[in-house]
Amino acid sequence: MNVKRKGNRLRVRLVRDLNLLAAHRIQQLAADAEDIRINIRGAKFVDSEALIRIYQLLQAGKRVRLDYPPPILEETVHVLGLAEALDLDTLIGKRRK
Amino acid sequence: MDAHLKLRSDLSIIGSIADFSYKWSMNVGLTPMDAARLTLAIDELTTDIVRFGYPEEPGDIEFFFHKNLSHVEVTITELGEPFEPERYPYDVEQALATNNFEGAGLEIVRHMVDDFVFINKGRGGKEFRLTKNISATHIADMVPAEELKAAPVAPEDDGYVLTPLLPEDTEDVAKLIYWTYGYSYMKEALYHPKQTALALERGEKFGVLVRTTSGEPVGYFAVLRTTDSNIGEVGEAVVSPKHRKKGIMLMMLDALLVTARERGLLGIFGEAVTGHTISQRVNAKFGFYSTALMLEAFPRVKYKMFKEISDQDISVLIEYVPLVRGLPQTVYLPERYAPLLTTIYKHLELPIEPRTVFNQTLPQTSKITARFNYEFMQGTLVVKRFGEDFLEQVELQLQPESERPLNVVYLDLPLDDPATPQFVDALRAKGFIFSGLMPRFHHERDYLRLQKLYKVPDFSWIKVLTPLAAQLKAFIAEEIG
Repeated sequence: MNVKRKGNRLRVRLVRDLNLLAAHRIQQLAADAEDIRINIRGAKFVDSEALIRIYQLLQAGKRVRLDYPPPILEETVHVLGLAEALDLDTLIGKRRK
Repeated sequence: MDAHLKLRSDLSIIGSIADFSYKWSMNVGLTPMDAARLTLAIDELTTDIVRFGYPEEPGDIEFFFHKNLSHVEVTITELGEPFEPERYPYDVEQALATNNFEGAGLEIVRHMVDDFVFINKGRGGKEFRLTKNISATHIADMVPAEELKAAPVAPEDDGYVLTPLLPEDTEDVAKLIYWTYGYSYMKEALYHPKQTALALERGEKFGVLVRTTSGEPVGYFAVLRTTDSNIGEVGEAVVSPKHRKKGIMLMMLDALLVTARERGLLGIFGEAVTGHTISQRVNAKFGFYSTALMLEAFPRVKYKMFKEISDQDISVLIEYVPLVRGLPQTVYLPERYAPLLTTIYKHLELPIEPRTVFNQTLPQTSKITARFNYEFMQGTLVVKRFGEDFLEQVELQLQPESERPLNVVYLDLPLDDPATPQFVDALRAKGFIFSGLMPRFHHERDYLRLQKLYKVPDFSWIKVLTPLAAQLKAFIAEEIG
């Protein structure tokens, strides 16, 4: 996990899946951040534990973006009925080609 | 391509098992999207097991990866704290209101795979079975409809050329299957040329193709590596109707047996359907002998060519020809079945040393692998090791939490294990009856196959050719009573 901070901005680049461990680490790193951008180009999926933690960050008033998410992300979010709660269109930043 | 991993429950294994699962899934032919779906399901279950199954002390989690020609199965077993998935339904409204997302992981699991079964095995722990179908392009989507409508007609004086099957031939195989059976052929994978090509490249099957000298495909026959043993199955065969009774089937089987010997296989078996005796007749010419009768092996199929069997589910004879006989095998034959099993061994000319042992001491737990094919409404349990809890384990396997209709469950007992005879009476009391001998069927060992029927077939539809097959049929009919 590659981490960069500047002021209240947190930039994270993941080379593996966004799973429980990765999400937990990001949640810790995001404690004093307001604007969080996570590059997940290397992820095969984002699991339910990670989505729940992202939801909690949003609930805490933080701005979260996922760049280059895997195609399965949207399917996963819809299965859990969280598209609206996560504001999916805003959550997804840059897309994979 | 099967794999077995045993890992210690720890958060750090979640990423590793996901990496392995994804690569394995891609290697066995899942699309990247389906590989990601299966891997996500495995990630969700592993996460739940690590967090909630072993919250205090770490324990073992086992992952069994299995692939056949049409789908992949992943079985996860663990001995953690008791858990009932049905008690954790996911409700998004409630989750958002309470910030408690209980059941979310299982909701994803159910969605991401084609079949999900949970089994609570009591003291034997818990088992999660995931099935994902392998999707590939169907022949109907690859070839123009006009080309599929009718088989080309070869000139009357055309001869035949037999060649080993190559990946580039697989589209012609799919066409041949379609011309012959329409969409009624049981092995769906053959309609997907890329799947067949992949299986050839990976050594999961080898085959031959017969063409007319003008190049039209008219016959196909393949040996599949379908078991966990060094034997093959003559599992896929077709001859174009206009080219039957010209010796093509015999020519192909002869060539396959030569190749099987060259590849060092111990034997070849076939599942000969009993709605007719054509396959049995061909097998008999090449030294195959009937060793088992599997009742209700497949649900009814409307064969394009064999309309007379359309009203019945399909029972099959296991027919085996040894390619290597080797040294005598020590076997413990249950008294009730010893005469018939000995007769089968004699026909196969497989040497045995029968022994008897009483009051075998057993370890506490049994080891049984289970494989359920809900499409064919059948399950197979293979005993790896008998334990004191054997009968309890069998009973639990017969009652999965997630109910799926089954026609039959087969149970394979190792004949070189002295404990096999002592359980036969108790298994009969549970409704199991004889099926037959499965020579060298798992890990090069001989197995006694029993079967538990949830539906009794009409025996008048079961047509057998040889006296040995008739003996099997009569014995099993008598067991049913």
